[in-house]
Amino acid sequence: MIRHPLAWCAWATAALAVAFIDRNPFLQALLLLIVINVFIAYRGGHRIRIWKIGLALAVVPVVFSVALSRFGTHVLFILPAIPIIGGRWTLDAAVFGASTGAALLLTVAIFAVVQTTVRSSDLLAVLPRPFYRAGTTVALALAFAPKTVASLHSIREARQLRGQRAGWRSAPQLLLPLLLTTLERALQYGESLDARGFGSRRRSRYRPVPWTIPDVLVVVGSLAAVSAIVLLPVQPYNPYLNLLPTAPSVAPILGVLLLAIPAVTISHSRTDHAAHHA
Amino acid sequence: MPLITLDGVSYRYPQAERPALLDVSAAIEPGQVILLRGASGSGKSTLLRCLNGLVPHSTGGEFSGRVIACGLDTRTHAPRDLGVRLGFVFQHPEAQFVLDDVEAELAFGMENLGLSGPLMRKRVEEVIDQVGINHLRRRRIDTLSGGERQRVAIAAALATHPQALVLDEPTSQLDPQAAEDVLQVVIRLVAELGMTTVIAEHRVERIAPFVDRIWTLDAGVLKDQSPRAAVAEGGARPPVVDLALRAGWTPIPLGLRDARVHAQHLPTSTRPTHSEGGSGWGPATCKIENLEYRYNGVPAVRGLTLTVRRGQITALMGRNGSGKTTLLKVMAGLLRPQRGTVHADARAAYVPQDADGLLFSATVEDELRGQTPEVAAPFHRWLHRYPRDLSSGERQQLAIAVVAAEADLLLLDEPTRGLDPMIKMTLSAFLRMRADAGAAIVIATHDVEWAARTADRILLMAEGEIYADGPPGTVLSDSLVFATQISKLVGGGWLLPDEVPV
Amino acid sequence: MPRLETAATRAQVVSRSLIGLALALAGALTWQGSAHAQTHRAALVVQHSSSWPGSHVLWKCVEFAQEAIGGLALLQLAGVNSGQPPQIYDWGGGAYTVCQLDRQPQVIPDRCFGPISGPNWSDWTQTANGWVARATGVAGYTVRDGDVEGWSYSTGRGMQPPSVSFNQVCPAAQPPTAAAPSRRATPSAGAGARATPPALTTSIESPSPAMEALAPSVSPSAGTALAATGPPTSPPAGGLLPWLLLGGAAIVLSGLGAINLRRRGQ
Repeated sequence: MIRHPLAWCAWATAALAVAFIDRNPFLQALLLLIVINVFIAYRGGHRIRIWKIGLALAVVPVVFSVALSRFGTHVLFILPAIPIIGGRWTLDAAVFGASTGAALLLTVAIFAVVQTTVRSSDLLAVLPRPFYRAGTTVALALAFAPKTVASLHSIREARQLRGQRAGWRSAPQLLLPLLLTTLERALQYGESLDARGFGSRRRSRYRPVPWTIPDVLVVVGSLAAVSAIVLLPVQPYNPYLNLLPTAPSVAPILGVLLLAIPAVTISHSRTDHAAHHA
Repeated sequence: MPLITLDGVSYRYPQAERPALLDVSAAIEPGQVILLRGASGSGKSTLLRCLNGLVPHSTGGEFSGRVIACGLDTRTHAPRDLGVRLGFVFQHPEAQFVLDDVEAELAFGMENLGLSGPLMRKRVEEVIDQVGINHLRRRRIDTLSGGERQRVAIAAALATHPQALVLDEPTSQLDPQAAEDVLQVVIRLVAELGMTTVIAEHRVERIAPFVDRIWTLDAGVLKDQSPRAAVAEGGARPPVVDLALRAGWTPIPLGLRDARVHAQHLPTSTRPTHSEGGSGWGPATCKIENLEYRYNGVPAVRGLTLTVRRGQITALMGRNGSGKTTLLKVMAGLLRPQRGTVHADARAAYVPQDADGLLFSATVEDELRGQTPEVAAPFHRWLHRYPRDLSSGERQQLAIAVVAAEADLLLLDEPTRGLDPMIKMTLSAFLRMRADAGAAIVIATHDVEWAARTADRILLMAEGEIYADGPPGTVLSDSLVFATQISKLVGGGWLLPDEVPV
Repeated sequence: MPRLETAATRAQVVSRSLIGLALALAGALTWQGSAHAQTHRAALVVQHSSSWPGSHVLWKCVEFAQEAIGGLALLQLAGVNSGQPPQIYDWGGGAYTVCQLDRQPQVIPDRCFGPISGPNWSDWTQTANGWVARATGVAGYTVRDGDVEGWSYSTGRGMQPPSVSFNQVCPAAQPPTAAAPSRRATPSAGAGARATPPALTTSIESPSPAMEALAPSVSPSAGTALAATGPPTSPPAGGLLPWLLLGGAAIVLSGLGAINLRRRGQ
């Protein structure tokens, strides 16, 4: 069980670095498999929506790339001379878009894991004192985002009920109640913080998260993974030159596999997260 | 020496026409329990916020007079200094937590005090036991229900060892079971720890037996009375008190236990079974046959058949998750039936639990534009106010009026949540007026007393099915869970205080 | 109640994505296998400037397995840069231009390309009407069996390479290459495309010894873009081991995920 927030930060940083530095599709697929595994092992609430967002994001570059790029040797079909989209649509462009999309999907997946595993209270606790207030603000802001989305949904529904159809034109009218709801909530948070003595000069920490051996393992593994990708020569992948990717060399594969440590070191006693299913 | 003293406190919000508080003087002795009541918008929240200095420190406005809380003058001390001496629990369960899991939240106030780790640990264990939330300690806040959140909020407030606890309508956003759970915690703290407590609460009948004084606010003016004197006054009395006044019981009972002694002497009687309902209603306006609706494969409504008629007020009751809201949304056309048919020949309007999103005009007058005079009449005092400035009860009322006036199939989801008793009665009257004008009304509600008074027909739902259907006298009188205070007290099928023979 | 349901949905989604991944892997592998069916040839003519100390004109017959290859791949397969990737400039969006071939110019100008009017490499293709300048950059076109491609180093809008026919560079009598069996074992060598063995390369003049020794400098971005084709001098990567590792890891991870899913789903 990885608890330490800094261990998770190291893991996420390493995973992101790998996702963006080496575009080899096989390596990307492996990394995605690992991130999904870690997510499954640690998932808390139901967060299926974030995966939908990730998949949607991943499709965008494919569409753009294949519709706008004319490069590549594997022509799928040729459109007549329509502005912008006319011309040769190539498989290379699709593959190029897919590799960019995969990197985006990986980013979303990695943040999904961090969101599930890192508790803002733990992260706040390891922040140096001068950053504490700023950190609390960020934690609150993060808590705000999903609630704001939820209120947007309820406001849209409410407006539909009053006969206003949802559309771009109604956006300003949607925004005003949303802004107000958010402001009201912000004021309430402010009052709550005040009423609970936030901002006094004294300050102590409840139950600091200790470093455990798995935590250290994850940090070391993450460092090794990044080194394997950065320091050893990689064979970058470019579909325009060579549609079929080659196998990545052994070192990056082993490096990426090190990122699976959090999924492997999870102990099955799991008191912490089992409670979520109550 | 009093723990809290209010001395000639007057307060006006920035740019407000009238003061929210007018020359309020009162004192709270250590160990006292104060119930604060008053209509929506009468200044309850404002008064409570004066106690820890949030008014005027975080609100601005004009403040005069003096509040001394726990030896500190709120004019010279910031809310954060007072915060640890006065535990504060807010109305909205959502917006008072900073961190994301329960234990961290319990410790947050103590961390701000700079307490040592072992001491914090000890106190966390203590409050967990006091409030009875051991099963929640490892949960994340966002997985908690509203009632659970309020209990965590109470525990978090207790953890700093405050000298008094201030609760601002802690149950108004909760369903009855959750509200009962929260109130039980408050009652236990009061009874077992002798905690000095100030609580604003609409469920007077539930909490009155444990209270030392009742403060009543009316347009900013405070009246400080003994509980018995206070409950006998005012138009919205608990049903037991209503019955006591009719039957001439003295002293006036504050709760069911006090009343039982007197109730024994009532003549034994059984409620005559009226030929309620039946063919007396108008034509069917919404016919549902064999409706089935699933969320991700889990049935929310299954095999449901129902006909709703014009002129009829139907109350839909049942525990959380029994399919009430889903049924309303299907009738409103917000959800498409997955199986079965829904046949409606009326303009449907649906008012969700949180109706704030329905209001988006700049003034109440704009919201009401185009409405008939009788719809707009109750709002004449606020016509020029900004809808969002109204209290939550007033906003609910306005939203219902605005939406309801245009529809002949009116679907309301928990319309009485957070409403004070007076507004609830106004709402009853308004709905009756709409029904008499030919509208069909369906209300999902947990509020038994209000449903007994308002509805013509009660539907009990469980597991997505309707298991009881009939007039309130039949359905509610032989129910254990959905029983009114009077039916618990008197039995015999009686539901309301004004119909029991004395 | 909905919790159980979401767990089931999640399980479905994850298992579907795993199956998808496996299918994609399998598809990619079979495709790669089938791409080696036939050998194609294209002719390449490189015209250096008259002041160039070495041979001014080079002919190369390039063999490749795919239906078509990119212009840059052609240069690489031809080994025109002593086997090193030619120096290129990335214009963004996949548009690459070659700015140094066989160490001409000896010093790479600013931003690789120097003044637009100055001496530059231009690329050409031979049509029925003679040489036509390529306008898309080296990555923007494909070369097919029987094509004749030319490069010339000249000023201004560029000078046509010397006229030549396909059969001059790639004589028809050439027997098919014998190196086919080794292709599958070296997947990194440009997806099966392969330079003609030295014996098949025809040069009018042999390159000067000095030129052979000169390794072109490669800018980082260019290097990244090109290395995928694999410099012919570097040994083929890994062989079977990476595939075994990838496959094994995928199986183990899928199993682990399935176990965790089931455990959590309960």
